[in-house]
Amino acid sequence: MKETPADRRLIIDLEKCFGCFACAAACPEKHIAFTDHEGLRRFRAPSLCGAQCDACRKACPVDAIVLEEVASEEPRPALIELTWGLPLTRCRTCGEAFTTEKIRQSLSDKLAALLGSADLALDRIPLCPSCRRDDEAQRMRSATRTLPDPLP
Amino acid sequence: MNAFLHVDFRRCTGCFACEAACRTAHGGACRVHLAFADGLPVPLMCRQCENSPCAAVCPEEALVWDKTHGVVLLVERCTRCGLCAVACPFGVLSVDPFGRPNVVKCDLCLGRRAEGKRPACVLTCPTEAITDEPDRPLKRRRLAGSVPPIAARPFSESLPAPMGKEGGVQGGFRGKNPR
Repeated sequence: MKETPADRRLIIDLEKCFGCFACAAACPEKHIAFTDHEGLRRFRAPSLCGAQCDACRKACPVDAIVLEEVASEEPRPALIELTWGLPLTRCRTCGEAFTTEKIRQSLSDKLAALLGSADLALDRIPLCPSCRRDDEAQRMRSATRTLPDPLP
Repeated sequence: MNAFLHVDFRRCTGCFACEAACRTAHGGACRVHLAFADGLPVPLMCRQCENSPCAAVCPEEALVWDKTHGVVLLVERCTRCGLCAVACPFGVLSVDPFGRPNVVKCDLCLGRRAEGKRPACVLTCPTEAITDEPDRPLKRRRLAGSVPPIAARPFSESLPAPMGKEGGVQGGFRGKNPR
């Protein structure tokens, strides 16, 4: 039987998806796309995928993607575009959106369990990478400010 | 000694030579970042933490710590989910979902070290603010005279004189509590 282009149904578990871009990066055909716009990370993906691969399902760190076989006798549903969005979190200092709220939450829970609640890594989770670097520079300089410069 | 780059940021003049060298050595994105605190430059790069948050959060265990190479990325395991970039407390790690390399992070110039060369930023820094020799900053300060050299003062001089002699422990005690 001839291989039809639309073979498998893409099902996204929105409870599990936390808005990383592993699936978008993994797709060899670049079918899954994402954009960060106005406080929301929007994903776009086809509802049916004809490619014989499961790169997106394998890459997903939270197993939110299910690829369901469409039986050959079943009438093909119309190809629609799946869209879903996750709210972005903003940097506490500069206000720039740098990751999704769900990733921030899950990482701070994970790091608190691993490193203890008083760790530096946990304090800096609400900051964007650029503000983390500024904060670190400030910390390094203030740690040595009281000492006279010993070098000529 | 664990592998990491030693930064004496008081020597940094903020000339951005390290950033330029890094870009030239690796092509594309820069792995050294000059951050400024009240106008004073601080070069920041991956610190190759032993218990690193980036390696802890990686769902695929693609970041592993090694004594001689620091935190190493295993490219074939990485899915580019970007969690390590959010976890890094120093903001020196970034993930590119579509370009190459996938994780932009200081690897202590792994390719150059394989050829027997030293990291590009170390060779380029005009004031030796970045170095890969752990004892270099201390050696330099000894030469400048700000830290006394180890051999200048024998440790026995700083110890109290032995018991029974003039100025010894007994003498000190009497001096403190005069009759």
